[in-house]
Amino acid sequence: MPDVNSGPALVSMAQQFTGLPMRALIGGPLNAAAQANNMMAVTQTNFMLDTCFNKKTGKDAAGNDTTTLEPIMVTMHITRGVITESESKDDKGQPTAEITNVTTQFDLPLLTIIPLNALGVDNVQVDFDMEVKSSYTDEASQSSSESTHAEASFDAKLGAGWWSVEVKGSVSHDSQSAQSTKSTYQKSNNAKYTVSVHAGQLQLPEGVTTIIQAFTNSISPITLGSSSSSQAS
Amino acid sequence: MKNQIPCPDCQKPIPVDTELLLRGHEFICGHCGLQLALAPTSRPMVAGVYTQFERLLDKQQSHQSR
Ligand SMILES: [Zn+2]
Repeated sequence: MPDVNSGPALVSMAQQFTGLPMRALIGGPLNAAAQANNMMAVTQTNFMLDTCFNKKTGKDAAGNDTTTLEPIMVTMHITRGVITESESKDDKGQPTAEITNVTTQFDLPLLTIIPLNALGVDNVQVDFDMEVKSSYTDEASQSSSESTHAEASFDAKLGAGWWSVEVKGSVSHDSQSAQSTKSTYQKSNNAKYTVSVHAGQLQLPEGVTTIIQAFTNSISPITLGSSSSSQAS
Repeated sequence: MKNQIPCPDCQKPIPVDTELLLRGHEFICGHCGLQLALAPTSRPMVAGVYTQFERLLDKQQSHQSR
């Protein structure tokens, strides 16, 4: 009978994991995502500068070449309901109020309506299961098998006097008995790890956000002639 | 594609979709009810830039799926 203390020793779990390229397993995909995002940040910035700004070159007072970037503006229309007193009066002679839609226009930098943050890796998920098993099994088995086979035949004649009948037949019998004893001893060392690494929504580069914010903060509506005679204040 | 523009009146963010803006849709500020739309005169210019932007996005997505 095997003994717990005998038999081959189990490999330690820590030892098993040292061989695994954890850095590559987890870091690889994340690193690739980070690099891709880095590239996209450059692409975002270049795209923004190339398409959302007009470049103007000139010379400064000292005669050096200068480049000025002027944001390209787009015109937006805003409509708002304004409550005004109408010329008609109610039963009590009070002027009635009416809501009129006032349309205003304002200019907005083009870069604020292009969803630049869509450029970039927004989700990175690294999932895997690791299972390390170390086991040792000792199996002792004994079995016995017995088989018997019996066959008999009979041939009898029964009869008495004036009648007889002859019967011929055979019977056979098989028997098998098996007995087995099995003793199993198992040492098992088992570890299962689920690794899940997630990198969430990646934001626009700080510089891009600052530029967008600076422009959006300075949005100021200009009143246009509206659909009615009213003007926004 | 979703984006946000601060409301020129109340400064609360108005979620806008550039594609829908180009198709003439209006977006309403959930806070003050202001309606926002792209002026028809600006549509061709925005459409041009947006096409370039979509091309860049496609390029990036095909690069990522490789
Ligand atoms: Zn508002």
